[in-house]
Amino acid sequence: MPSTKTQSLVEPSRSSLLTLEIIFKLKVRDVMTCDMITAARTDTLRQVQKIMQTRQISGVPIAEDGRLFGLISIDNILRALDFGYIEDTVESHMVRNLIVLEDDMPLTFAISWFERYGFGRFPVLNREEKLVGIVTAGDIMSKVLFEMNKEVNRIETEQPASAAASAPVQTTGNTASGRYFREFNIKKFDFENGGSASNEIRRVLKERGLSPKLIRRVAIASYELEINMVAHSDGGKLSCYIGDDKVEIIAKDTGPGIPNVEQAMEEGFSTATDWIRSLGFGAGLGLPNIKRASDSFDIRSQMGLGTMVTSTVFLGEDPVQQTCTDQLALDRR
Amino acid sequence: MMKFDDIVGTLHARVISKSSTYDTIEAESVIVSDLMSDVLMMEKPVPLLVTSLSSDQAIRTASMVDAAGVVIAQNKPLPEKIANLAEELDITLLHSPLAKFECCVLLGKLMEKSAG
Repeated sequence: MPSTKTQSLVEPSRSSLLTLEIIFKLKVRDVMTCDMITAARTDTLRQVQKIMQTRQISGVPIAEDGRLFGLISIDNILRALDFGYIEDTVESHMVRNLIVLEDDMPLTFAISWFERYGFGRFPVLNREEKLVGIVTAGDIMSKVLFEMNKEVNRIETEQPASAAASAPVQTTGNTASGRYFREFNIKKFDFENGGSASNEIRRVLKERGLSPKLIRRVAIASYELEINMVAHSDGGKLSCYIGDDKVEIIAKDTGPGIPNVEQAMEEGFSTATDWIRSLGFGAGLGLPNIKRASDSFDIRSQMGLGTMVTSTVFLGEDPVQQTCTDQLALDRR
Repeated sequence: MMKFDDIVGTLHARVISKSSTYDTIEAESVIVSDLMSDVLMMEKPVPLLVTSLSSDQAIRTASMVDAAGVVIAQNKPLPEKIANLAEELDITLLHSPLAKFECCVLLGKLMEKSAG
């Protein structure tokens, strides 16, 4: 049996590396909130309490003309309410000995400070010691998630075009819906198992409830590609990518390559041996069949390097028209 | 429309494997070919494939075009595991001693008869 790897878009080891890469490349200024609310030293704690209520924040830096004097947190407000000095000015009750971050510090530094000090926020100063922002743990989380999402989208976009060159290993679980990718190893001359990968692809498409006609088209393209790899190549990988609007089958072999692709696309042209013909193939119909079944077809080949064929079937309308052949078909209609 | 039981009788066939739809499917068309790429050219489902290609690929090809059954004609020796594959892919597999041409003629007559 060809070895069957189930794969996700990002390998687990690569996924944690990606997270680390994202964290390492970000600086404090990339995650901080610049559009912050501040209060003046002469404002009352009551005014700060109202700012907190209306803006749904739990800490307000006390700053004037960019110079940071202190910070009032929700703890200071609760204490003022408890002890009855909520109408006092900020200056006499604000926290003065602040731990601050600098805007060009690496994000990893900020993360370690959240762990070390247990504060909910850090004011951020620039090199001129002006207040330029504030960072909360939530800001860091949002930014890292945003960057991760961007990175995953980039990988997903590149996935079909790269023919899964890096063969991300797929685990089970998403065969029924959502984007899906699976790759199969195809061995040279393994006629015994030739077709089993396509059968698996067909099974997944059926599980998704796609139309029988569409499944048949994908299955035909996939099966012909698989048999081509078994019969003519040194082996390679057959992959299936199911996106939101298409199914893509990519056959990428390791050689020997097709000397004349144009000629290979001609119906009836074949380099198959008698042995291959005795197995029911090699009549020079494979590639034209694949092209006929596909909405989009692409073939690239280089001698010594190999061949890559991409067959795409779109999930919407079915634009490929039936081309009835003149075979010995007994149809009473 | 032809029922599998009628096909078996008409072609003097031996049932090697019965699909889950053996009793319910009625074949309304047939493709006869030893060339699997010819079969794969058919975009419409082909209920029955008659072939003298006695190999696993006949079963796999039939499965790709949603065929319910395969008749291997001319009493060709069957590969050892072909019955298992037919069961796995839920394909009815029949083995007939008749030549493909005779199969075609008899199936044509059966179709005419069943059409009344």
